[in-house]
Amino acid sequence: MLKRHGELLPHDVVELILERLPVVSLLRFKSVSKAWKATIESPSFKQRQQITCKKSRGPDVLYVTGFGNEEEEVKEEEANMVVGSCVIRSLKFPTRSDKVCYGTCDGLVCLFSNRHPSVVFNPATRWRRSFPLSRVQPLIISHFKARSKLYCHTREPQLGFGKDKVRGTYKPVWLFNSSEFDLDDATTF
Amino acid sequence: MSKKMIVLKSSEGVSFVVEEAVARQSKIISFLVEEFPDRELPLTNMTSEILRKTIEYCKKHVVEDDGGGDSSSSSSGDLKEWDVKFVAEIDQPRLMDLLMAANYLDIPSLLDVTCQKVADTIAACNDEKEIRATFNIENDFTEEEVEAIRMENQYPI
Repeated sequence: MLKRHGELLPHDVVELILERLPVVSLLRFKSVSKAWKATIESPSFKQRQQITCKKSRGPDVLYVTGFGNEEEEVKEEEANMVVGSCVIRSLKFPTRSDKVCYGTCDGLVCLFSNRHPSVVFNPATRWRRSFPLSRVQPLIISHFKARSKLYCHTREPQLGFGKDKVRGTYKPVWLFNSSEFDLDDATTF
Repeated sequence: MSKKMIVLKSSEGVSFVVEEAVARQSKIISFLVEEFPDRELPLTNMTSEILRKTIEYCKKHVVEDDGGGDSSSSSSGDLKEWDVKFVAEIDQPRLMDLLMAANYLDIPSLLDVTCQKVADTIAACNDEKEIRATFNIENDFTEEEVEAIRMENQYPI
């Protein structure tokens, strides 16, 4: 708790202050006190923090370049750049997925490709997790192999990433035309 | 037309005569002047110094209806700059007092700038020890617990 003349500041005021801190600082400062840790980790605080941050600074920009390489060693170096009120950080993620799901969901970014497992990551905390190959991906791979010599036009399947508002969990959803993969019924996996 | 004035009284009993439009930026005062018109409002938990600062802020931020205002024709950019300077000149304990005053009187914009200033101070600290020292926070973690939190924050690779 913050103190003022030896008196404790009410914790709701402390929360108002913490809401205005960037995620990177919040992660570092969880160890200040038990009350701070409890606040920083609470879901309702995270929500308010996101709203406050969105109001107080410019838009977040996500810029994804080229192919990553899973075997390449992850370098901790980050290039920071400030444009107006935005801080631009460059992060390196070891993944072979080269396509990005449209938009972000609660600050999470999902990368995917046809052949490799999709990866969801949080650029602020650098938490990441990859999904197992979905059931449709082997079909996509064999389909594109078979058709690569024919000039047959198939729309690339797309992955969407979003939140199940009822359960509070996140889901990737493939969208593709089932008839192109000789599937009758299913449109998504 | 003369402007309607109200009287705010600090914890030391010092009276401040303020234009009602200025004081009404506080939602609490706005409510009180409607309930108790023509009464001076005692603010027993605010020192004269902090009350004076709060009034200074409110005077700068008052929106004049008649357009020909002499005190507040500043653009929003100038106002922002003024805010930054305003909180930069206040030392840490007084900033906390002002923050509490803004919270108590319910002046959203002043609460926002003071909270942001404190947040910036926190963000500029190197580690948790510096924050505890700056803000007089008691460490209620054991050495092991702090280490566990540090490990948790190591980025998964």
